[in-house]
Amino acid sequence: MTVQRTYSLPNCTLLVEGISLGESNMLSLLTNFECRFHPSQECIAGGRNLLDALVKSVGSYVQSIQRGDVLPASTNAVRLEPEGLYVHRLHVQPTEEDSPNPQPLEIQLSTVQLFDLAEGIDQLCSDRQTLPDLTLALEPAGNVKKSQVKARIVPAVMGITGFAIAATAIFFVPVPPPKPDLKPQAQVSKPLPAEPKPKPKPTPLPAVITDKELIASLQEGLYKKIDRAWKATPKFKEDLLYRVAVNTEGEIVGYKLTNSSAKVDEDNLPLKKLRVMRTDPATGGSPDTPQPTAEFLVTFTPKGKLTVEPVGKVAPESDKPVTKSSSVPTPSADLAETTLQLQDALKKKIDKAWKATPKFKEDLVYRVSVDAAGDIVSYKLANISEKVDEDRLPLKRLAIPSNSPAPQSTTDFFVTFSPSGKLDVETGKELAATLEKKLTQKIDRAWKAAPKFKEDLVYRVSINAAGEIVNYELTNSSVKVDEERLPLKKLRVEVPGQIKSSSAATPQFAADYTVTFSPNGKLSVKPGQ
Amino acid sequence: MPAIQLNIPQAYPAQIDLPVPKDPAWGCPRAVRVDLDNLLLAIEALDLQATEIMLYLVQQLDLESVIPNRVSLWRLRNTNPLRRNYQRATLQWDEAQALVKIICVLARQLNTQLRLLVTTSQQVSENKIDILGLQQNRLYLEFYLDRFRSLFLSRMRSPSILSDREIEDLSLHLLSQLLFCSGTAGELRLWHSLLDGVIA
Repeated sequence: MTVQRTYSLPNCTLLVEGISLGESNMLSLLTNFECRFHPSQECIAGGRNLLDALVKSVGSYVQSIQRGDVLPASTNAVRLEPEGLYVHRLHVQPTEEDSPNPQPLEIQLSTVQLFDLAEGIDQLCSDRQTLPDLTLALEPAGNVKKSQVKARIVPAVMGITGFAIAATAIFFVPVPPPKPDLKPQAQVSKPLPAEPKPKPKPTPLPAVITDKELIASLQEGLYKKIDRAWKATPKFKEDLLYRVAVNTEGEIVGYKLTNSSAKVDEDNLPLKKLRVMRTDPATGGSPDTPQPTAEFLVTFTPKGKLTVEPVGKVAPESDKPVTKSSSVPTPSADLAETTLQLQDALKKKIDKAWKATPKFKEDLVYRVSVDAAGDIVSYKLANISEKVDEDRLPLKRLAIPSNSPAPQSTTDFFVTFSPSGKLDVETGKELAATLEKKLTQKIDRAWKAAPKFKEDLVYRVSINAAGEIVNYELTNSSVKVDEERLPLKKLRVEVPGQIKSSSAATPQFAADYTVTFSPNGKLSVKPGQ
Repeated sequence: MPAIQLNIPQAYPAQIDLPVPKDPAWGCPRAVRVDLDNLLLAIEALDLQATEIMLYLVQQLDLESVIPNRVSLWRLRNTNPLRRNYQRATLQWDEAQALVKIICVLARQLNTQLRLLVTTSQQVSENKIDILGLQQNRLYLEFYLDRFRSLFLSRMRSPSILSDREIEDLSLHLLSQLLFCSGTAGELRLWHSLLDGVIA
């Protein structure tokens, strides 16, 4: 009995004809099939061999699409290959066996048409009443067969064995005896002086370009360079301020974001691309003899405006809270490229080593001294109130205690560990700016009582590097104040006696701020006199 | 909330044989967890009601033993290591199979939309939209792309590991992947492509 089955889909109809054996309705012997694509009326027709090839190649091609990398799939007479992202080319080369007058066929399919073809085939394969021996092809195209894996492993094994043989052979070659020194040491029984360990040489600071004309031309060149390279639409909300160091050739040798609050995707900014590595033969820059540089302040605004200004012009940040213990020779060290690099390296190092989940509640601030090679020489916790489990912080592991009591040239950084897992490495100046912000927030949040005083209350407040208030004092003494209604008393951290004595020996970093409480509820925090 | 109307065929094959690899006892590989979550995210971008429908499907497909409630579905999706709320939990094989079944049933519901969107993205790539006057289809596609991007950015780790461009490529790839999931043998095809090379 002849049986016909159709699987009809929007873009393609698959028609299968065959014979059923016995009484059942099952199509068990295929006589011919026809697959017709709809808008084009192109048609693939043939017998069982061609159908098998079609099922296999379409199946494995679809699997390779599912997997995400499309590869040509071919089985006997049928080949499918990608042509761009959404177009697939189907080649059919029927043999005489398949059809009486075989003609090669080439059909272009869109992804949706391919889906319909695959769906027709899948329906046919899952149909238990039609050709039950036909199964889905689920092996993706381009899969590495096990035999191929073996073929790849064999040469590798041969290579390793060959190396081992060569190594064994070389082992038997006698080692030439060491030649006696031509100039023997003086025959004195004095023990040889221990050879001094080569100490890492501190990198000299780069010279600062002072030539005004050169600075002006560098400024212009830098503007043009950045402007040309800045193509991405700005995605940030506030102005981004960068300090950029430029050498005499106008190449960017270093840069750093100064408003640290913002999170920036630097791939969208041109600086990363424009930066030149320091060992450039043309300008002769190398870690030992740094090239003279000029500093510029580059501002990117969200509206797409770009400004480039020499650093000197901008009002400098308050210098007062900066720690003086740093033994870097020149005051411009903070702006120097070496400091930037040390800072970067330190941050990366600590970040990499800090794995434990923070268990502390407040920001922990450490003063960390770093020598010229970037090794941590010493560190000290600035917080008083917090008890810290230092085993959970990376500093203990990273610190290399210096053996030489002689003061090395070190640079101090302030490392802030936040409970949220954020890590900040800042120079003294940057810390001062952050501290001012932190102090404002802290007092603002804690000041809840409505003001009852009539005139401005001006306090001098001392804080340590962790931002904790260690002392405060009212400066306009004429007024009588109910300090219970002000937040300072609550926020002040009592220095425990034991630590007090030790902190007297090693003076803590401290900064003074002038905090003004106004009767109208306004609060202002300024770096103190 | 409006009643959810689904036309799930009554004779839905409840038991599809999805073979599980023999040796690894550690649950699904990382890539599988990422792919499954991305597919679910794409479904959500196509239909914001999808999470409700997913929970409804859990009952319909007799998957309550694997996914007893909303939280457990959320937990399964958070086995994606790129998630913001990734808990380092693993995905068991039966849980992965359940997600595959849910994805494919939902994809079947969305088949018409998927056809339209895949065709439209092809037309966009060939610059044919304006000639054919199908601007509204392009808007529809852009709507999906936007929604996927915002879902991706809000659920995945921040800063995003993918650029906007890569997110767009991913969302377009997911469309065609979902289209092939919506076929008769969608479950088998998806399962085998996820575990490509792991299972025989």
